[in-house]
Amino acid sequence: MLRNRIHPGYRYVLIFAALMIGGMAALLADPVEKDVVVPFTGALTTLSAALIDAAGGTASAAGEQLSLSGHCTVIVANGCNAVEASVALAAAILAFPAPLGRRLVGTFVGVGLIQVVNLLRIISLLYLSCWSMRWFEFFHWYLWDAVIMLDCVLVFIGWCRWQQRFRPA
Amino acid sequence: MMPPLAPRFAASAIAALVPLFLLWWMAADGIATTLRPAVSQVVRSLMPIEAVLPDGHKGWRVETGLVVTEGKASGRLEIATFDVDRHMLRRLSLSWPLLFALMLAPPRAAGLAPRLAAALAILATLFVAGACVELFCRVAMLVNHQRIFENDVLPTVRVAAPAYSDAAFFGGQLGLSAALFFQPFVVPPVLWLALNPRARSVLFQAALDDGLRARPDIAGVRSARPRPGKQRSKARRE
Repeated sequence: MLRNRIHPGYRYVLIFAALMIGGMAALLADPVEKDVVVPFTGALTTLSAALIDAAGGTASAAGEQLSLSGHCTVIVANGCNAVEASVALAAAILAFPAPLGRRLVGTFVGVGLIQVVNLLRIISLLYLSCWSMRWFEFFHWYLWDAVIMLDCVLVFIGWCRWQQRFRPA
Repeated sequence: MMPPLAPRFAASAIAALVPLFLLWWMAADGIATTLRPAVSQVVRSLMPIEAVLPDGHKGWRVETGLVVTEGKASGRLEIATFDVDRHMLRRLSLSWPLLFALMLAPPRAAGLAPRLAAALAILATLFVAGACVELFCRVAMLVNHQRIFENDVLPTVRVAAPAYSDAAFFGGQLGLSAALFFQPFVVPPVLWLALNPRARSVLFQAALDDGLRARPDIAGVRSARPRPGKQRSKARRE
């Protein structure tokens, strides 16, 4: 069987690459974009507005648009919804040679953590857009992406260490 | 007493990322300028592009060899040109500080300097590849008069050139999506693991051992080699 002929390390790389390319291609497909990504992004803006309201601010969400007190508006476009980072993390965890249950737990918890950080990112960018476009651009294009990448790596390492605890001695 | 490996790694990577990110911020335009001739060389041999020039705003001005047929500013012969924004070019090198931060955090690989040099060479190659894909997509947008991503603005001009096939256009979309949205997340951890056997053994050895247990043929070959065994025991002590 192919499974037994390939070294586990190489098998991991192959499965990871296949899942990544499949995920990237799926995100470009129109049905996925319209029926999954756009509603998901809408849910993110709604949740962001609800969190701002709960913290005492006044925000409103309409589709992919998030506004603060009617003054500043940001559009949460593709690339700002952390879907790409979530796909990358899910591919890294799902390809890992571990029992399926642990991989599924890792994927759901990991993607959840990435999205929590992304909510902070969206809310902070909304406030930054009111204050300074220069800083908004720096945080939007570069800094938050670096933080989310580091978050992905740390979640993956944390999950690796967690799932190794269950191995028999 | 040393803190456990995972928190030490996280703290060191974050601590290294701050100065490296500032350094990259100051050097990012220089990286794009340094690698522009290489990008120009590649795209001129592969696409209808005549020159990749600086635009005076730290971005690039690309002169194609495509004659404008509709949307000309004057009645004279016009060649299509387009600008590549500096933010786009900076994004192509965003993975640089992230990778170096990971490589400088413990567990560090032995012989760090040659590994950092190898990482630099690979990152430069990936920058050139990403920039070529970006330029291909811009040319494909001009030729096919079709958006790459939904938010893109269609070119105001049309050019005389046979359209790229759907497969080539989709390949461009996939490549650009990889270069802009996935590369910053995926390249640093993948290269870090590829260039750091100690990190690899800490993260993966247990799982690989499980896999190898099912394959006594490979396990036997591996146990006859002294080096991987040494690395494994070192990693476990940590």
